[in-house]
Amino acid sequence: MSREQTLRTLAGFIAEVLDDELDDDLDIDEDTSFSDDLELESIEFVALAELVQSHYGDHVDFVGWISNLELDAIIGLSVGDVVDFIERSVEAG
Amino acid sequence: MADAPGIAVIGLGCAFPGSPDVESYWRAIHKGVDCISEVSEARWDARFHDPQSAAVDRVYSRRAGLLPDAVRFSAGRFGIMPVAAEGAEPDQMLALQIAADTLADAGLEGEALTSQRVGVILGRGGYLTPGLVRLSQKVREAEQIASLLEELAPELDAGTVARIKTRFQERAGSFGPDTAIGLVPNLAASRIANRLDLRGPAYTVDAACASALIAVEHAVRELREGRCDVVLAGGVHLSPDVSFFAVFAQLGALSRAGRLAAFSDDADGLVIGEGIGMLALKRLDRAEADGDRVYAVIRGVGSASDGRAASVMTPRVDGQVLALRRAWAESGVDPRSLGLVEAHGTGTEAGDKAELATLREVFADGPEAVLGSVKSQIGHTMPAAGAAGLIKAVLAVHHGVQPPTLHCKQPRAELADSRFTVLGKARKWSADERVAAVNAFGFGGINAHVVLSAHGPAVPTPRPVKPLDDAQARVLLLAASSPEALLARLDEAPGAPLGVGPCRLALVDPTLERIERARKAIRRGEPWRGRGGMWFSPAGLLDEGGKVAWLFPGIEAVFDPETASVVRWLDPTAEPLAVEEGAAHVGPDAIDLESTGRRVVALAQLLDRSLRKLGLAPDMLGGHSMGEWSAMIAAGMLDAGEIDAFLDETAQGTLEVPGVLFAAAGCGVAKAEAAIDGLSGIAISHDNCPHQVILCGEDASIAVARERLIADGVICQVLPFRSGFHSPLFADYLAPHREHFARFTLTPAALPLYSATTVDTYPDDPAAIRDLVLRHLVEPLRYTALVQRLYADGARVFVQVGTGSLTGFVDDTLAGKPHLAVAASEPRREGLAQLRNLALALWAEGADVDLAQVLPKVGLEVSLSLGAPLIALGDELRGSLTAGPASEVLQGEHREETPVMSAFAEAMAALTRAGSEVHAAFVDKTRPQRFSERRRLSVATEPDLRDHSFFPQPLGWPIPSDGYPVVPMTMTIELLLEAGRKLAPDAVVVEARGLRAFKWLVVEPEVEVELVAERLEDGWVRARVVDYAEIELRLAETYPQAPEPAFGALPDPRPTPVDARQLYEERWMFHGPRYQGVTSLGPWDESGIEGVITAPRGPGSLLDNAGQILGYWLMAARDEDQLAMPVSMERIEWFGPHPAVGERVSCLVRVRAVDEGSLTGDVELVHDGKLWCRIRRWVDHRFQTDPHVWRVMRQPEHTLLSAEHAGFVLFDEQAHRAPSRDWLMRRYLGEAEKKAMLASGPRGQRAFLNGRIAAKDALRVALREDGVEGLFPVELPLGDVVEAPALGGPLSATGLSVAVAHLPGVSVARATHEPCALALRPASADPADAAREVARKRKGLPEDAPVAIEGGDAQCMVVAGVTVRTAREGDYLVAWSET
Repeated sequence: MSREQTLRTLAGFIAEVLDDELDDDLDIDEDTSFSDDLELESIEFVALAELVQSHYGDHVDFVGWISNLELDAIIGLSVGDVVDFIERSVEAG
Repeated sequence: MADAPGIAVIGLGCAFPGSPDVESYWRAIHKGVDCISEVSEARWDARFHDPQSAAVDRVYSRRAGLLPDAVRFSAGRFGIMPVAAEGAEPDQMLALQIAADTLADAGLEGEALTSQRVGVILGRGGYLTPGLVRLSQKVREAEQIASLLEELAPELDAGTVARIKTRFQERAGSFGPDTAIGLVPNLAASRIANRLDLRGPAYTVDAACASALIAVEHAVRELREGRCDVVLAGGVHLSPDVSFFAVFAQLGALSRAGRLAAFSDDADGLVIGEGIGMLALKRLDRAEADGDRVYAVIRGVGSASDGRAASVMTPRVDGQVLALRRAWAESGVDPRSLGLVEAHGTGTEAGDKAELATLREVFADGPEAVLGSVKSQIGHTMPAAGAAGLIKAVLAVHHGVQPPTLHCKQPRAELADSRFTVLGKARKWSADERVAAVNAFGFGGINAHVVLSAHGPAVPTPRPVKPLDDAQARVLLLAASSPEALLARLDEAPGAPLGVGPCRLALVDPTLERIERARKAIRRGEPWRGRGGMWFSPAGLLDEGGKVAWLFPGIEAVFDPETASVVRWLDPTAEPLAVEEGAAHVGPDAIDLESTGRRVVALAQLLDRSLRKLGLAPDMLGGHSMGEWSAMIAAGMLDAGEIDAFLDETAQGTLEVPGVLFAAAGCGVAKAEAAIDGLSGIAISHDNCPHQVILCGEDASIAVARERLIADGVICQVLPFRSGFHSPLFADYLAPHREHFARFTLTPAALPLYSATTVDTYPDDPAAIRDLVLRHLVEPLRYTALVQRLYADGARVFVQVGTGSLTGFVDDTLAGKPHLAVAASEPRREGLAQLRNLALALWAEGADVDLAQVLPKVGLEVSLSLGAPLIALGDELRGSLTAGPASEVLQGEHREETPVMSAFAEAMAALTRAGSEVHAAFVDKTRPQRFSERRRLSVATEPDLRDHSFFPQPLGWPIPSDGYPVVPMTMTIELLLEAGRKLAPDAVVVEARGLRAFKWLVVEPEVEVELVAERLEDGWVRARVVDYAEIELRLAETYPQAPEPAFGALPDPRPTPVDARQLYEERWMFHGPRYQGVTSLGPWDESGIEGVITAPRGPGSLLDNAGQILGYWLMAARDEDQLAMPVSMERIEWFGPHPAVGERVSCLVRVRAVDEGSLTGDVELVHDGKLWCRIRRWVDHRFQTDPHVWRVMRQPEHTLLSAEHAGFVLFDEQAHRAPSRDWLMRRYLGEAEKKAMLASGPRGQRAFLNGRIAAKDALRVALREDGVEGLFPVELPLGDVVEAPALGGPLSATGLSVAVAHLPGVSVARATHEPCALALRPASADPADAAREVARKRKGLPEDAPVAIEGGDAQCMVVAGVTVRTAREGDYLVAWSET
């Protein structure tokens, strides 16, 4: 799966979590920050984790990864960081 | 000179691609943002771009790092007239703004600034900039075009060539004496010293790409030698012309890939950038003594030239090495300590290769150091490049971060065995001694290098807060009865009145695109609550009886609110709040619970005050954890001082429980219970919402529970504080708190306060309250249940009074149920900006919120265009080079087809035979005899006409028709001349007679006029704008010899009461910038007036300006009926072509006659010492205007038309002499109101207008008492109900209401924060009757309902429970209800 596809999949999940039916094309790229740009609430992260986990299965341990990130890392988290993580996990798995 | 005194960097300012300020610049650097984009056509024409061509005038890449094509400039802040700012070199204006920002960042403003010796030294190149382009176009290119036309098409008549040249010059933009001075390149620095009143040296230096660092070197020298206290140093490079791109294309130095990949093997050249960067510098010892913030310390600066090299284009390693060695020798710093080099790094083969060789030689050994180039992100900003690099390096040592560099995918081989590495991502720079160096190497072999080091520990990167920018400050508010009605209203936006109804939309930055998005949301019919700056509620939650709950958050992992803006807003004189004390907390270290708790409580109180200032109040209260204490304060249960004292006394660590951790789990209670099953010393402390619980337990148990949860697919994170709150683990620590709470004075809650422990309201009994407060500390928080309970009790709007996660908890708990959860503070956003969003969100749900408190007014700003694209001449001259007249012109050879025309032509021929003086060309039978054309005119086709609007409205007012844009009579003359010339395209108009205007030519909405020109028997041409104006013209091949100007000096010259600047600023003339050409006014005397006009660009503006000078004579010479407008001219003669925009023309006016209804004068216009044009018997019509009405016309935002009395305002038609009711209507009513008025029939119109005047004046009186001043009447749109109009616009939220009462010709109005009623009767009427009328109106009773007077006297009586005051005012008796 290409990095671009991973990004699009993730962007789709984010749109679903945000329940944003207006912006067909939410402007999400690798630089998009979850906190500053998307203003994602911590609770919404839980929903995002569920979607990622059920899509990629066990070898992408998104929950474990997020759980072990430090708080400032989570605040600074960008969509590209998550793509990186998924790509790494998929390659390793 | 080792160990030379350090120079402190105490202030920073910049604008670089993608970053309007330093904070965003650092964020872009940190995140590695690519700020390169395509050059737009606003900069240079697409025709210059050709990837295949090697031609000298073609550029193979359009990629560049640029600022926005138009940047906002606060002209008003620097006392610069907007029109002057628009004409100046944009880099000078922007440099001024950045300089002021940089000095302000260093704490240097006002007295602190002007009392010091402050120097300004800026690197700036001598490249082609928009001002120079305009100059060249006007002076050289226009003549070049004319000479080519003459050479290539000798058959063209001189008039056509002259017109093309003149039009080209006009389109080249403004260029006058004010702008001419701006072309002197050093003004980029000197203007800063001039506008900011600085007394140190101010100059620019040019050392090509090394300029900014050479400027820093000069600055360092000035400071070390004690000649300056502070020096502003940096570089400026804006608006590179296409020729600049062409140079780099010719050199092959531009990247074809369109990206600057410094130090990468696949680098293929540079990308051009632009920007401005400045640093405020001061000697370190002085900065430390003055307590300045020191970003970093410059330790050494060195420069050197390459000497004789292979060519001036080829960099030489030994010249660079010399510069570096000089800087390091001066610094006394060990090169081995280097941690970061901000390289010159241009991505060109020769440049990168030489630079790496230099670095390897100078920094041969030592630990790893990071090499970077910000040019990979923003492009090469040439003379500003050193500033871009130095600011980056300063921020890197300041924040302790080694930043990334883009596109270095295949690092060059030389890097492999060097100290240097290029980072793809930012890295923490933890060294105590953080040393960086910056390179800037210029064409021609000039090299500069700066060594700098950190001053003190690293300061964390501040979290970004989003302030309101210009666009964000604009808000569209609309209300209607249903989504369908709202959609219809949206079609009228922007500019539609607010409207009423439970279906509301609040939209930030209402661009057409965003309005379209809003339309989608409304059509969908579902509420939209906040994302992307939009709030839409199909039926307001509060309109439907919903209640408002305020929820107070406790301590959370992140506490980083921006409060300074809120504090200033609440009280401009206040000191920053204690909330700001201590570093903002973001991070993994354990939080100091006591001090954070104090700040959480302080923030809650600050926001409580803020919400109340917005007119908001809660129906019910709740808190989360420690937030329950804030809620108790808000409920009046507990005194804020007692909680503060408690927290002050609570020593650090008292709230802590050692060995105990909190962990947040992204699941509900059931999963969490399973995870702690069988573990000891662990409990669920917070049931926050269906997807979050918090576990509290001993470290070991937490670790096990966490593992189980993660294995179960649940996110689980340890929180950064150690406490046992809300769990049995805290029980042992309860004793001191019990004592404190025992001492608190407790009062029953003033409104329902809900406990998250009991999920019920608090008890009233103090003992029971104390008991519950203690239980709260050791029992779990049942927040999910609490939110459900609040919802069940009617809460629909939840306001989080603080920063935190409660809004998320509410949304999760109430998912799918109608509700709004919104925070009053949001770490990502400026405090005041978030309050504004909250106010909009609540307004959309029907809250009675005072929006006027948070919707700013537009300031005096202009837009600077950074491009100088090619000039197009417009449709008018299209086809003027091809032979044959335009389509609708009747050709001479067709004349036989119409008997009239043939007879006419014969008559002409007879005249010729008779030896008439008329030139042969005009009777040539092949020439057209008649011309006609229909022409559409509007502010869209003639945007300059916006500046010729009779009724000036607030800056940026979106509805042009409210200004009443009218074609000036002098532009009508140009239309007439244009029509006349169609009959003789190679002739010029030399004389005109009998100009008469019949009515205003209003161009909004669009109007279609018919232009007609026809020959007269005597050879003259009559030209008409049918129904509007006519004139007769004499055309000739050339202009006649100019006679000497006839007017001598004025016999009794006196200065005019106002100068040229005041003429417009104080609106003696209503004209906007495009028609503001009078640059010198006076002297005047009873016989006439003089002035100087700098030809502005609006159509017809030069003669219009002569009319302004004539018109102003009336204002200086007479006290009444000072408003006059041109209606006719007897004769106009021209002796030369129209002077170009920016040319200076002397205007001499002699008054012939002034009587009751008119003013007649003669005018001479002298250009270049010669008479250019003279006008005989220019007649202005004088309008009836008494001095007060005249003031209202000029400055309606500062003047009331009504008379102000205690309790009401009264507008009496008879009290003033005004030009007409129409004028008053246009002055007072907006477009929608005018429509409503004109629909109300002749008699209704009078009452409608009088009532509106009184009502708007009453509102302005009331708003003035609230501190809001300077409102134009159109800013107060009113609904259609005559006696109690609804208040529209943002002011609907002020809580004001207005009542109006009428008698024929007279209206009174009263505006108050409470509903009120009003009656107006003749003075002879019985006050008791008037009082009864007021009482009935106030209570909504029918006209004949009996109401009893219960007491009081004639001035103040109580009628049916309503207090009514009465007063006699002249011929009238006024009565009103009072509360």
